[in-house]
Amino acid sequence: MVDWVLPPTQLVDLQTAQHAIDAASRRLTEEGHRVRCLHSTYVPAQRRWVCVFMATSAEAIRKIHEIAQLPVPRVESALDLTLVDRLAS
Amino acid sequence: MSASKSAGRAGNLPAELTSFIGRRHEIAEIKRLLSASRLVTLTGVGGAGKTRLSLRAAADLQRAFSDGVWLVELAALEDQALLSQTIASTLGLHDRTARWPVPALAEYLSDKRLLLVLDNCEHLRDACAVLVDTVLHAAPDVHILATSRQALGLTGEHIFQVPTMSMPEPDRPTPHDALGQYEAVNLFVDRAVAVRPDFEVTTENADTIVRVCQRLDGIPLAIELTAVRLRALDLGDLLDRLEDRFRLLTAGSPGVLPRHQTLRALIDWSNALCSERESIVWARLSVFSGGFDLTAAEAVCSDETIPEEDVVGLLAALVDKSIVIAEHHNGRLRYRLLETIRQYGLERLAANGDETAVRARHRDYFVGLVERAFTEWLGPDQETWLTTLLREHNNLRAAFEFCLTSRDHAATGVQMAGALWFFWIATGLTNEGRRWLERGLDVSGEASPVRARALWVCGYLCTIQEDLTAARPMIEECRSLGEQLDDVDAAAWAVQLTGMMAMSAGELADTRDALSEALERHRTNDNPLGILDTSFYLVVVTALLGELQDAVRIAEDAIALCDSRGERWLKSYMLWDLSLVAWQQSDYDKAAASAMAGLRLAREFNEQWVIAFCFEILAWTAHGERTLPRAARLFGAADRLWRRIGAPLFGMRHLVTFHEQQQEQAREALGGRRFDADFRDGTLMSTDDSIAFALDERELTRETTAASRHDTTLTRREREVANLIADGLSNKEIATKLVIARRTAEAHVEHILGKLGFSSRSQVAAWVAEQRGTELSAHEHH
Repeated sequence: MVDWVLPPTQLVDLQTAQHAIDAASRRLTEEGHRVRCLHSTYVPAQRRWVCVFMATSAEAIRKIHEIAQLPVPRVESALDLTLVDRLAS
Repeated sequence: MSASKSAGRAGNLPAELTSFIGRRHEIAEIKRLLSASRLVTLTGVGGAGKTRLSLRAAADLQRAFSDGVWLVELAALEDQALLSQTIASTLGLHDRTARWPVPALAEYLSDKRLLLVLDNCEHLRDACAVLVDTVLHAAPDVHILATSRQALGLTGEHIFQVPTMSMPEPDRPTPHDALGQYEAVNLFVDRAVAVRPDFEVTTENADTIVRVCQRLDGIPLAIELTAVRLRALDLGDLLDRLEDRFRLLTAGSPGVLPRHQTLRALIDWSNALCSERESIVWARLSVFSGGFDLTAAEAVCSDETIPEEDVVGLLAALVDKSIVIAEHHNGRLRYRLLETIRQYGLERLAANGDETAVRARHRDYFVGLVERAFTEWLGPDQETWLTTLLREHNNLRAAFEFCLTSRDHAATGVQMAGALWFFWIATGLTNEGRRWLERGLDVSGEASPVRARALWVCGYLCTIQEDLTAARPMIEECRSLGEQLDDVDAAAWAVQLTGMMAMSAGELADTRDALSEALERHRTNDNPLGILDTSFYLVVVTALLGELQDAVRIAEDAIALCDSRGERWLKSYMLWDLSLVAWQQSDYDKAAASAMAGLRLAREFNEQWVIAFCFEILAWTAHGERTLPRAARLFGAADRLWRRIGAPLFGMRHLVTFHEQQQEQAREALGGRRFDADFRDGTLMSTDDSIAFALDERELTRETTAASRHDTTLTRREREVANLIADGLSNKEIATKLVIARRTAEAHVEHILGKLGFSSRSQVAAWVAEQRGTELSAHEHH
């Protein structure tokens, strides 16, 4: 998961950035990496952007950001609890 | 981001240095593909002629793209993170915000009709593909012509495999007068004539020429490298040696080399024909990125085995052998290696084992250059320094890369990036500056004055980008290092940046206090750069606090300091300061004169911030003088720049309020429809045209000239007023002269401008002069 607070940013920039992230994800997937942006949420009041990726490594997520020419963020591991619950039941 | 003056030129395709041979079918096909698809990629082996072909096809298409055809050379770019910044710089955009470069570029291109030629994408293939995909998605009228050894791999991409040049088929004799139909032969003969003017195709040598071309697989670069050998060999010897060389590689069987190996063999052969010292210099020159001059070559290529004074002769020998290309740029000789040749040189350099030493010399040379620029920046050679550093931008990047890949060299990278403070700001490369500084500061943790300088420079860049979250810890560390190292300059900059941050937050009194303290510190430290830079911000805040006399005094002191040193870049800022204060004093003539003087200087440096600031003040003064169409147009011109630079007027609430009030009042006075039309005209003008308009240098546009013909019937009173305008009288003076209220005089001026379709008083003056001339000649005629 990538969770960051952005400097003042226009929504259209986020949309373009998201397009670039998706394009970069597709390329890496074609090259054999397993990485995909599952969802991306922006909280305007806090200028917070949370992207959840499914990936085999944090490195792949950083690489996506490099290819998309976005700042390379800190990547944290995260668990989808709804999925954990479902798996448990 | 903002468009520079170069954007007005609609393209940057270079002139061709050597004749272009053949390729008519290929050019036609590429043009056809570009009409059917927005992305065409020319693929093929190195030396196949992809670049020349793309440039020729692009040149033919210039008229189809109203916003120009732009070549972006990517061979020298190693860091994919700088791809969009490189394209933006090529387009003449200035990015002064913390915006991500890809969205900023995509937005800029969204309403453009232009062709981007991205040359040598192969080493940045992923980043290029993502960027191209994003741009094509956002900008429906942008087309892209890419060259790459490998296709970008995007949906909708049309791939054109660049063929080798046409040549006669093997074992089919071709009469010598029929050889002109073959491109490979024509290229060989053209280049042969260049080194042997008496060379021509004859019945006797036709077969040998054909065999040479066939041996070289019709690869243009191979043909060029071979033809130059005719300077020392006759044609028969040339073929013999070529065949000997290939026989070795193919174990005696003829004609089985794959094409990429053919070229490799040719370059190997070129290397073998060099002396050992020439070969060493070739390898060393390959560390340069984006070309070099003789001084740089001497510094980087010389060591205990090759004395500095020998480099010029060795370089000349490599030029003779077509390994190095020599080109004149603005009266200066500059050298470069074709990318295929450079890559070969880099391999040799690595094999020789002295890559690190050569790269360290390359870095040291550019560190020296950058430090000299930093020291001399506040002097009469600012424009030269800016041009020099822009020319060496790729070499600076290569030096940064070398420094920042190792902790041992990181401090030098930090030193370079810090010394380039003015370069990052004046060129709008704030994002790139931050990137190198942040990377360097991360790798190198050593407490030193060099680190302190890098901290304030990076903090400065963050602050002007309004990224205060990033700026704050840097300024804190700078302040702490200043105390720890007793570095009084660092301490003063930390105080200045604290003031600048307060300014961003709109806290005027805190800003003034901090900046006043910073100014005193800079004065005590005898730091003219600090004095001038602080003065700029201090004048703004003092003026906004209503302390106008103080503001004028600070600005005039700073201008005197600029003049004493021959400084003109910061002077443009200070002149804008003065214009702001004069405007607040309702002295519109002085405000306009200062803004125009600032604008003239800003134009020399393509200083986008000052240009936009000056448009603002000139719009406000035009409104104050009731030349409303001019005001509306200048508001439009300013708006165009602000949208691309980022936050208008630094995002300062007080200045933005002035802007909004002035614009709204001008709109009300002129009428919404007319204001909107003039405002729109302003947004449509190129930066060059806007500047010329703001400075009253340019005649009316065709549109306004046409409008002026609609109604040139002025009342008697309006004619009187027009005559007085032409005599240089202000509204107040006209009112006094005609014994009317000032408001009435303003109304007359407004009517005159409206009737004539003009937007400035100088245009009225020119019109009156023309009328007087016409009347005079009519009298003479009668």
